[in-house]
Amino acid sequence: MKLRANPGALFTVFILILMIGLVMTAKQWQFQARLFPWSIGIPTMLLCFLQLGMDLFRNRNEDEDLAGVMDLPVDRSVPVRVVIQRAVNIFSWIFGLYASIWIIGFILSVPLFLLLYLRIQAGESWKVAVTYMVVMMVFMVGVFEMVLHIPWPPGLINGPQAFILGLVEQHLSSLVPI
Amino acid sequence: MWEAATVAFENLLVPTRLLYLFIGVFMGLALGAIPGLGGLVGLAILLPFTFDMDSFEAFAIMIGLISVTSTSDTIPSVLFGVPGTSASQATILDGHPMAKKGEAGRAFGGAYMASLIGGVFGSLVLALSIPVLRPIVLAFGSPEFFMLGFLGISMVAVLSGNAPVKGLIAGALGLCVGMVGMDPQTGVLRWVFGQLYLWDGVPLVPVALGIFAIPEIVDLTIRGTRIADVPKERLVGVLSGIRDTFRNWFLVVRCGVVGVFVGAIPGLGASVVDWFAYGHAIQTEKGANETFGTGDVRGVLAPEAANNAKEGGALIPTIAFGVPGSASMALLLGAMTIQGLTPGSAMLTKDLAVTYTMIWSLAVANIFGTVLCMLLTNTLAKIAMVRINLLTPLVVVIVFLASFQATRHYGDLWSLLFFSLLGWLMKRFGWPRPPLILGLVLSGIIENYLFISVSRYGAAWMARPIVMIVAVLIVVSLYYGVRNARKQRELQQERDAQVEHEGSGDTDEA
Repeated sequence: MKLRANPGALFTVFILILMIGLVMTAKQWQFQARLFPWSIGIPTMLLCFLQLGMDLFRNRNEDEDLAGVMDLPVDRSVPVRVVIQRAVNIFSWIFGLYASIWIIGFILSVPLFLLLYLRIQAGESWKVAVTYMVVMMVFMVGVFEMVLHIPWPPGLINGPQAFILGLVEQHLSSLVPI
Repeated sequence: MWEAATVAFENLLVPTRLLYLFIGVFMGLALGAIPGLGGLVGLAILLPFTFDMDSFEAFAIMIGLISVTSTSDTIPSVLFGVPGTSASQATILDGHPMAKKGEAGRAFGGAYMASLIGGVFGSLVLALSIPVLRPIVLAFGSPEFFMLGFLGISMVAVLSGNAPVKGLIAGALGLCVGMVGMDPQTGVLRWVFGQLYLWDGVPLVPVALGIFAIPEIVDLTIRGTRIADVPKERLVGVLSGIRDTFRNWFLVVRCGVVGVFVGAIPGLGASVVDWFAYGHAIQTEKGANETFGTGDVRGVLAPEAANNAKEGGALIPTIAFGVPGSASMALLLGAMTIQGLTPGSAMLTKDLAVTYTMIWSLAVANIFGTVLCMLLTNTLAKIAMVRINLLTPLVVVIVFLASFQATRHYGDLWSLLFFSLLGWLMKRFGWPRPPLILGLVLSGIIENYLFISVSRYGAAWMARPIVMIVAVLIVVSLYYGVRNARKQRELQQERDAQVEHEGSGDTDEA
């Protein structure tokens, strides 16, 4: 058997390290609390070693193409380099949305995200991007603020969000008597 | 029991509940028509919005959604040759050739009617199974339910992919995620890393959204282009397709039976049910060997009847034993616990009205879904053609908003991000994701059953006859799962060798 390079093995190593960490931290708990974690964690660690062996020594990585029996299969026609590039791109947008929510709050981040994504990433016209943004803003304020009364978490810079919510409270809250 | 069924029907007829059912059906139809998204993504998004609903409303909307994705998924399968969901892959084989011959309307007529009959048949079997299951479930105690939980996870783990070891690890990972938080027996804080947010455990919603919704949308974005191309003609011949269904009623009913059985077995379900039914039709129908694959309407009726009937079958182990056979059933089980319901004997005794409401919802949703599909096929086909660039930001925003509904804490968004990355990597590296969700949902339940079993019976719980039978079943399912995976791998290697051989032959000739 020949050792072969396989990026999938790195993911297995990550899961293995995670499991080792979980099992080790459970050591300090009293017996009853660690019984279930150990009954699951220790055999899983062994399975991770087995999987790692298969990742490193098996002739080809058949699992990757055939694994998704319960899902739609992964489209492998796109070259790996392009996949990584596009994945980093879309995940950057997703993490960017989170960062924006953390800094200026939900109410402003969502329309801003839609506008920027549609203009910069999707290359849509201003008309489409602004219409989309306005519709989403109305939906968000209408459903989440006025009907569900979501307590929006404050952003680091909370002034603008508080100002918009104040306006909604002042002028629109009487429209939905729920 | 008849009384409970009547009360449940009256419960469902309350206008707000019917409205929720209708909303669920509409969402399910739209999601089913978009290749790459499906009932599971919709269910994950919907879950947090059911927190404030009563259980009848919550299950009306959720069952409405999952019942009909298998009805509208026919549209892209027939028109574009792209499966709307994994349950309609076999429909392409005859549905798409029919569309090419100008018989798309006939294919739709047949598929919708077969879906309706299959769906109603599935709910009927579910209703009839309750009196049969009740004495069995009532004979089960904590040790048996504990073992059944493990059986469910192990079956899904080994059957949900071609990599049983990865499936088992994913299931175990889900169980570990479910253990995070305060241990209810001892009060020990497990893996909370000093975060108050984690004291109550990792909420199901951000995990489900992260594991399923974001990876799907990321993959659709990576693929880049519009999902399907524009259909060329308007649809005619729907009525002739409906007549075909009644002409082949026995095939439709048989495939309904196949659907119920496959749905009821944990780990099988959506992706194989259509193939089982299609295979059954080829083996049993006259002249099928010559005509199937070339646009025979029976090749459309068979998988469509089965994939709608499977939901009725899948609900049987979920409701009666608390063993969800798929990720969407795991989310439904999660919704049950959120609603304060305990699957198992309680669902067949004191909460029987809720159970029957689920059954009625399933039947009524199939009727709604079929009627809407008949009326809106052209519109739903346009949804399938939506530009991915417009869909991505909308889904991302809805997923963020839905995720935040879990506990309304920033931690929900952190969980979403972490599990999105994990889910996408799992998908890319061929790790089955359904076992992780099943593990998470069942973790608390089975640990509790284990605790009760050990405290009440000591080690003697392992010697109970049903426990031993289930243990044997677990071993058998693991053995067959591993053997099956090995066989498939060998077949793949043979195919590769053959392709290589043919390739070298071509080179020699050249």
